Amino acid sequence: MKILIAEDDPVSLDSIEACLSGEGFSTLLAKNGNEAIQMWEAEKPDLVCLDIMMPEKDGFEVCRHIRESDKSLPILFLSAKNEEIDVVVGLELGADDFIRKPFGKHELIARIRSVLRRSDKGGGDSEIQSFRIRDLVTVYPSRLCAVRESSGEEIELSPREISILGFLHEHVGEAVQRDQIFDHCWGIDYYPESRTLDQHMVRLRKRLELDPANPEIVETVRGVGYRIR
Amino acid sequence: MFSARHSPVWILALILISAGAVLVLGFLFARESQVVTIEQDRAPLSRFTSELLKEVRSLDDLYESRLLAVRARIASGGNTLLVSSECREIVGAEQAIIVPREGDFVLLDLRGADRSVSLPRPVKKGDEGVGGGMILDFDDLERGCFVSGFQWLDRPGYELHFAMMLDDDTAFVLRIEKAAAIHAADDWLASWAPEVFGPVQASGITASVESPLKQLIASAGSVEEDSSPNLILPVSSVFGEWRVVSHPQTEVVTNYNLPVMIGASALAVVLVLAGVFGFTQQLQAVRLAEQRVSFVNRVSHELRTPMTNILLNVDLLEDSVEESNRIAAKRLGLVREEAGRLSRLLENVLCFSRRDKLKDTQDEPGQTLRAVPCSMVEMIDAVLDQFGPTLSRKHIRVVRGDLSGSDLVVADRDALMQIISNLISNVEKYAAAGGSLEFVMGVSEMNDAVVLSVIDSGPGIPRSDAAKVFRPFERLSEATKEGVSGTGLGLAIARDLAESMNGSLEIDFERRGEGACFVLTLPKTAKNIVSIAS
Repeated sequence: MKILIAEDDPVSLDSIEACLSGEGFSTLLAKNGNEAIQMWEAEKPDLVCLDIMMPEKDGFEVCRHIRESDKSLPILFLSAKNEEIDVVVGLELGADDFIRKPFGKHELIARIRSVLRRSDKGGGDSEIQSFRIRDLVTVYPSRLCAVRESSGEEIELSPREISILGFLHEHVGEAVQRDQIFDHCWGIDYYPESRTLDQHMVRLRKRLELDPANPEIVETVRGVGYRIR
Repeated sequence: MFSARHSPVWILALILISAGAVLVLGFLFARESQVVTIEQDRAPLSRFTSELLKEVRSLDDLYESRLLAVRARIASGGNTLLVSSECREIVGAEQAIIVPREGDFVLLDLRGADRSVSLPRPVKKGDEGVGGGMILDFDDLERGCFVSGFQWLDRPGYELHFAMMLDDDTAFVLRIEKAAAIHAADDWLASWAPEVFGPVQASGITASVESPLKQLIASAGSVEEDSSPNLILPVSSVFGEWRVVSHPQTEVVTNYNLPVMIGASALAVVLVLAGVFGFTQQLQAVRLAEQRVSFVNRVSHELRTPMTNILLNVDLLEDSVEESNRIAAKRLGLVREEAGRLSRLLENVLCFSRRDKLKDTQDEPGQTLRAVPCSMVEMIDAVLDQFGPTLSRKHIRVVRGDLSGSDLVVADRDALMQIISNLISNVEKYAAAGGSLEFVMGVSEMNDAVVLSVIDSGPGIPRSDAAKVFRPFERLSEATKEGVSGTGLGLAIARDLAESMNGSLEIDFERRGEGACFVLTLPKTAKNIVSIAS
């Protein structure tokens, strides 16, 4: 899942990138409108986050340019502009949503997720089929969520979490090594700190497991890694 | 704040109108009207009068000579038939009376056919009251006619009589009707006057000629009403008095009292100068205030990007802090809470300035809101997520009352979040530590709106302060505790936003128990909200 971020403030750009890549999204970074258009043409991202006030071309112009040839690409404005009229202009230009600064990571991810869900394009990689884990939950990669079998409750998942669950599901019954999970889900070039995976797992269990202290879906195999039985 | 921008113009307009009024009133008071008599050349009038005098005299002479001619003929003839026929020729002659030295009067009626009214009989001296006519005494008549042979008898209360001696023992008296004689004279003068009166008319003098019977014989110019004559020239004859009457010619002259005018003009100028001075001062003050507001806006706006960066990085940092590191987690939690508080403050300040600007341009705020169906409970949960750490730190218990049932409202998500967030922030500030925050949801009587009650365990709001609570910048002094922060904008903005979405935000005073209860009502269906997203 590729997300193009166009933002002229370097700290914001870096922070947003960190938030998104942490959730398993791959990111494309543009510092101005022109760069954003070039990257969109070259990389064809799945979603575009646009700041409004940018040098060379502002977010509205980039949005207009994209909409001339692509009507369905989800576009999200990130703006410090105060005026409500900008919201109206942005949405009339065909943007899918508008996040007013200041916003936190959770709001950003939630908005991206909801825009992806609403768009025709669907959420995650639609080629990956849904899969069921131990008659407890069914994971729907295309909708970026899992549904609890007992209650029908929908649990939002990040692309990274889906990737981890998918990889463990492929090796169902086996204890999968931490390095293998890193290589598959983060990439070979990624040198994670040892606790990154554990923290991900803690957060995933909090939402997925009925009792996170006694996990039923993903088990910890001491000294090796994780396993789905 | 911004609406004050228009007031200086009104003040200036009022002052300018007052200055104009002072000027007009000054001119009205300074105005003085005077009636002035125009000097006239009266020479033509004098000339005409002397001509009239001559003419009237000649008419008198003519009359007398006619009478004397009759006497001569009667004296030579002598019988009554002759007397009658001679006398009837004379204009105005009514009665002939022959007065002998001794014996009775002989009376001859000279009138024509109409004799219905009998003429009064003349009486002798000593017989007064017998006939009602003039007292005639031969001796008196003889004495009176001694010089010229005739005498006019014009006594008050009697008709005009003309007496003359026929011989040594007989006097002859004619009773003459004055009016008839005057009519005859008027007829003559009316044909005589036009030519002679011409110069008077040409001179522009206002004048007229009246006969003794008040008949108008000639006139020049028009006489104004209520004007009294300034010159009367009488022309007398035995029959009466003709009058040449002249009226003054006037014109109205308007003058202005200079000191009053100067005073009024000076006052008007002072007013205008004061107005212009006040206007520029006020304008400057308004501009300064606007600059300040705009500066606050700019600063608040510029703070948004760094705030976002702080929030994002706090989130990232939280993710990477190990669960075991409680101190770091706690500190980060505090940073997040404060950042959240700062964000809400920024949002409220900017929202307020936006609201003010909208009010200034008379736009409907609803036009810029994006109404979509959203779940009230979801919104409450989202806001509670933000406030969770703060509330638990203050030991404020969140009581989720009845939140079942349909909770879908048509509202702008951001606006609804801001309303709930401002309400919870209010509870967080005023509810005592260890108190509670309760949410109760229901539907309106018409079942067309969702009603959310937010109840706290704080000191409550007195009914008298109901209006004050929703006024911007107002804080209830008695409710203000030491250490309670805030801009005083939160509830004002919350109510504004609710009303923009066809809803309302009220305080429920009917509820029993302590604490304040804010009631938010939002429609289930969209009405008059321009929904762009749908």
